[in-house]
Amino acid sequence: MSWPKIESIVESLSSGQTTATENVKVALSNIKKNSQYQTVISTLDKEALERAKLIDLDILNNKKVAKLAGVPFIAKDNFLVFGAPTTAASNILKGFHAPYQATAIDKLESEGAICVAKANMDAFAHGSSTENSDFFVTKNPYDLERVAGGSSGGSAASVALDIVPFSVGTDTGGSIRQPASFCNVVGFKPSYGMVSRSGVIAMGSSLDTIGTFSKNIADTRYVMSIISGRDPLDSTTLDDSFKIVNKHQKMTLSKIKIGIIKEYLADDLNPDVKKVILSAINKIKRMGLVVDEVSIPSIDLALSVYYVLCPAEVASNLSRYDGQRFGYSYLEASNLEDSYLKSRTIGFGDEAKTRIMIGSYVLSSGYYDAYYKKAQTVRTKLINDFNQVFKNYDFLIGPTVPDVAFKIGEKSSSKLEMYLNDIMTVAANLVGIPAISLPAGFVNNLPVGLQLMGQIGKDNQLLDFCQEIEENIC
Amino acid sequence: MDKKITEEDVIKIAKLAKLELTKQEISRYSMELTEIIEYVQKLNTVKTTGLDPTVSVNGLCNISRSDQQIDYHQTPASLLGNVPRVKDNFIQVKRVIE
Repeated sequence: MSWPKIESIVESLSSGQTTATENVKVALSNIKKNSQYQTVISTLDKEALERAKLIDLDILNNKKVAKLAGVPFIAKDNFLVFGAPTTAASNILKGFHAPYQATAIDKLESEGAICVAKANMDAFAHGSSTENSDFFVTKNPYDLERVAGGSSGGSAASVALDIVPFSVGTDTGGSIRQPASFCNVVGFKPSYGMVSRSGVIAMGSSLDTIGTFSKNIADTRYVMSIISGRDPLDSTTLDDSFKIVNKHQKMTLSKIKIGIIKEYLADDLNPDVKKVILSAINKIKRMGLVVDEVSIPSIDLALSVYYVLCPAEVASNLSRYDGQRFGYSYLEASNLEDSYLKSRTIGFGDEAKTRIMIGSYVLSSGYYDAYYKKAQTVRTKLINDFNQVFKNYDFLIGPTVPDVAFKIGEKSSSKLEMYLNDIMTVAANLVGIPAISLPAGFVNNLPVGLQLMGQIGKDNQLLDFCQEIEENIC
Repeated sequence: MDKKITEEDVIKIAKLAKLELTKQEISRYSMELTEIIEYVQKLNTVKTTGLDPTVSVNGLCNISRSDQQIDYHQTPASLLGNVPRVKDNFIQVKRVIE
């Protein structure tokens, strides 16, 4: 069973063909049917059905049908949602019940959308496969022995498996785009500040973005238009003039210029993936656009910049998990210091500890200038280089990931090997620009995603362009 | 600049991060962190004269407003629901000042 487009789901409800309760029942049943893929940590059966009941009553009473009325969705477990624990897939937050919800969730619910489950992820979003979840690994919908990608693996797989028509996730260094590429769905990372981060567990505060997984651009746009916008609870949100709108603006394709990022087509790219990407790009070329190869030399530094800045911000953000006000607490501690040490040591998983330590190191006295400040300055260089390219090109294109989904356990030998998965996605987070992964084909029955990037704040234009090409690139 | 993260370094960092590590972990993290720090050394080769560090990608800065009383419709129970040790609506912690 495949979910129709979101617009149709709402139409069917409005016309009385289906009910919100039916939709929720189908979604919950889908979760059970696909349990072998382990995409969710918890479900909100009772709450979802209650919410559906109220929506169905409203419709019977001819009340105005909300934009997402009765549409079931899944939220990555780093979104604070009422009705189920929010764990960020970490033992340190097992059983934590949010006292408030993420703004994005409030917005979705106020338009009638119904959260049916919390998706599995790498703990605290540290990872590219969900192998760092403290609970279990999410399997790839195309191959049970392979990863779904991460850190939003559960969210991506849930949409790929048609459990729900859309899901929300976060992308700090590629955590929406990479699993989207591995699972053959559309994964959208908007501009930094497009969606409020209030109520989303922070990983790297200058990098974190909230975005969507869905099957097509129309649905992406539909959901993004509801969750984007200025929020007084997050002063880094962009002004409403940048807000994503649920309206496709046709483009004169001959006037569009695309830049293929030369550095992304280099040696570490799987040659079969390269073939799929180049084939997709050729199909776009045949639509009459100008497509050139462009070089952004500082892009080779992006991963280094990211693995200094991100752990530093992680170290800061995870210092709140100290066993005092919430989260796991070691109750037999003899003194305060012992309480901090034991709560954190027992509660945190290995990857969280690694990142906290790298972060603490690069921020420590004697190293702050050489690492953190230096990385922030190289970040400026990267931003300038991207701005330069965007003077002559509207969008940038390339692969999302150097390879297809890897086998579970394959990249466990070295942390760096796992980090190299992010090599094509981190730049967009460092520069703050919108980026998307679109299904572009397969290599040995494993999905390949095509990545597109646009200018900061020009998310509508990027979505407009993707809508023009999405049918033609596969 | 030291590119190798020694076991001594790891112990110092763990103290800053408020983490307790086993002997095995200290040795393992020494290797892992060294690998990562060695990888990011390439940043040293980059010319960044005249450039300022980026603090915010969308150029926003601190916003202030005057104190307002807002009713969030929460009860002490709902806010204290996750606290490990509660006493009389207070969060109970180990002695802070000796």
